Amino acid sequence: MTSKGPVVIKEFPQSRNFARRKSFLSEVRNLARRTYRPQLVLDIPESAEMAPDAIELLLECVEQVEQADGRVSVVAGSPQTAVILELTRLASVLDIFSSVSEAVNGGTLHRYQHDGLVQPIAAS
Amino acid sequence: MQLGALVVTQGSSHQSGEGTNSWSSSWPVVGKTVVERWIDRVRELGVGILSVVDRDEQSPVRVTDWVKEGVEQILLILSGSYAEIDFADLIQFHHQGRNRITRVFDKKGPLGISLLNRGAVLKSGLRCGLDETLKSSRYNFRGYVSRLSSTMAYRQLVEDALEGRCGIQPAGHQADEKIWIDATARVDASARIQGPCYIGAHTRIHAGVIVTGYSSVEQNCEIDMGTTLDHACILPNTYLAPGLHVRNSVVDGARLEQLERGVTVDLGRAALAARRYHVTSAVTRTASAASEGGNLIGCDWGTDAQALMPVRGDTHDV
Repeated sequence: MTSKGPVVIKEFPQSRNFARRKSFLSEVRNLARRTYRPQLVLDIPESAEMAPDAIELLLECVEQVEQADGRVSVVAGSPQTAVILELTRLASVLDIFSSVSEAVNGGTLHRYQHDGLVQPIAAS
Repeated sequence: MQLGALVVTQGSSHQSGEGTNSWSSSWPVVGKTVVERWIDRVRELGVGILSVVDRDEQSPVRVTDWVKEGVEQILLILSGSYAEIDFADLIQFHHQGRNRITRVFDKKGPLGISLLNRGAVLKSGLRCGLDETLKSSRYNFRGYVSRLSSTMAYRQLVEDALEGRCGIQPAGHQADEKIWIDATARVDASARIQGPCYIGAHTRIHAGVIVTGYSSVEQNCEIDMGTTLDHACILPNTYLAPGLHVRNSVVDGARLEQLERGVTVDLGRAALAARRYHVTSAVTRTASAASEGGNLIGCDWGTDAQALMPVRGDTHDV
């Protein structure tokens, strides 16, 4: 079986608040636990700062999703974010796109409706 | 016949672009700045007076005083480009044509280099060398020229120097074919240095680092473990964190300019790079003690981000 799992779009937390990031990671863990081969699209807003804890969080997301045989894609809101992802070699473990539609193109968009995970930026 | 030379730098605050493409004349090219290279070449001519001034300087050198003191010709160099002009040939051309003002051109236009006769200087001062509307003779130059108008042009000049496409000789000793490493640089035995490349004075290359693809690491830099430099220029006093992949970029302290994407990124916020600066040994020891496993004792360099300071791995002097 080679079919891909659901495509889930989530906004990457901008806040450096530990509790917010912990809750985000727990949502990703739930997703990885409940779905097979999820295609997680993380939308990093243009204003997001790629601080070390954000990079660490991204890596944890990759780890969780890969355990479910899934794949993480990132929508880099700014070219600066894309440069940092490439610089830190994260580009080798996740796919980088410039828009959400580009990221979900070819996949079956699935609105993940658990625990308020539906994202307003989801492509229709 | 006495010759004077005036090298005008772009000004300490000059950058050739905003945000991106911000080449500065203070950036060294494999060991020496373009201005320093101009000075070396002018000195070889045996000039009587040589002065280097900043374009923004409030009180510029009074070249009229030079001619009053007996200088017959003034070579004026505006350091916006690097050109391998045969100055002896230029002087001969100027002399044979009995020119008052000779300007150097390449196929793209003037290069900002002029040879001025004392008469022209006495009449119009330095303006005769700067004002391109004044009547002058044209000296056509067809040799190597790099117009340093952007970071990309700077990067190309570094590549040309390392490949031997121009006359720039990298500083330091040639460790291998097209690999230049300054004697004071420290390169870990496990680092992979693939030429053509350049490693400058007092620079430290840690374990597992890869330097490849015409990369240059200028003086007083520190490249931490496992980082790869590919088609990259690292400007003086820059620290790069472990495990990075720096490609097609010029890094100056915490500021990275990615040439392919044409974007500038502040790596300091992501704690991926920092500006190195000289610290007293007492401060260094404190920082070393604070960083578990750090071996900064004896190293009198620090960074502007203490979190980036741990230094590990055995090194050997090259």
